[in-house]
Amino acid sequence: MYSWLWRKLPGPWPVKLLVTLMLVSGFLAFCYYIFFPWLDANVFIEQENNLQ
Amino acid sequence: MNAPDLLPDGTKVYWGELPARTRLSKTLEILGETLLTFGVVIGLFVGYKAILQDNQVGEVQTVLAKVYEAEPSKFVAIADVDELADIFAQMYVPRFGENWTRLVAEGTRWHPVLNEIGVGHYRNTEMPGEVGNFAVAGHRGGFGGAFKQIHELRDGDRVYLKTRDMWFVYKYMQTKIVEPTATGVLNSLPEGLEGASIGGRYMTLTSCTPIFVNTQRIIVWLELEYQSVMTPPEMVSHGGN
Repeated sequence: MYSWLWRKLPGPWPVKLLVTLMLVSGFLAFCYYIFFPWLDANVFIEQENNLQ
Repeated sequence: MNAPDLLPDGTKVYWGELPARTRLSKTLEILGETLLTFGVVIGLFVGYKAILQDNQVGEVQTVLAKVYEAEPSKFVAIADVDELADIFAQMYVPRFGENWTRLVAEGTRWHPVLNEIGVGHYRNTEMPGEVGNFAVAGHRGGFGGAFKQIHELRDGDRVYLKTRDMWFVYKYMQTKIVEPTATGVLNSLPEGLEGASIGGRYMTLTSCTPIFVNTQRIIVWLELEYQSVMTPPEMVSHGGN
């Protein structure tokens, strides 16, 4: 999967590395700003009638 | 065919095509890398929840508390508390740090009380200063972790509550770990509190334990030492009312 992605990226390796870092940054931003807050709000929910 | 590699002794090595990868090999690669990615994402989420979001929300809750500290008239008077998230008190616990403070609001719903404000009052329990049990809940970790250090409370510690018209000072009694269903700890005569007697004025702090595992609850009981319209001497830096 990742080796396939690396092969598909254009240009010499420094360009590939740069594009990879950008993709990783984008993925992290998605996680921290959208996915994790959503996960926090929807997956970990309180149990009623218990001690909080 | 590629150009040959030259070994140090002059031998030319021609590389042929590698044998085609099987479908199984490719599938396993995707599966393995997906699982690794999941692992990394879970690790990142733990870091987010335990540190980043915890600190951010904690700061917001502290700033909110400072706003009320500067303007005590914003507090809902104890007798008028009615709606979920009515903010009626500010809590100071020197054991949690000199700068630690949180607001106390009505109800223990995560949203909009524990997650956004910090400390929530169990609605079917008494109010500060009353005979019985003033019980509150706070998160242990994440969302500002109001009661992150609850396990550090010990003999001699005090919890200070500032309301619109009155200060309440509660003195530490006992810590206990219970099941999440053990709601008897909230009773007017708290179940499990050694030396509890009818007519006592108690306060109960509840939070999750172990931290981030949350399968049990940690309970701290305190009893009213005194109440006063005067600011307790050790709280003077936090303003009078």
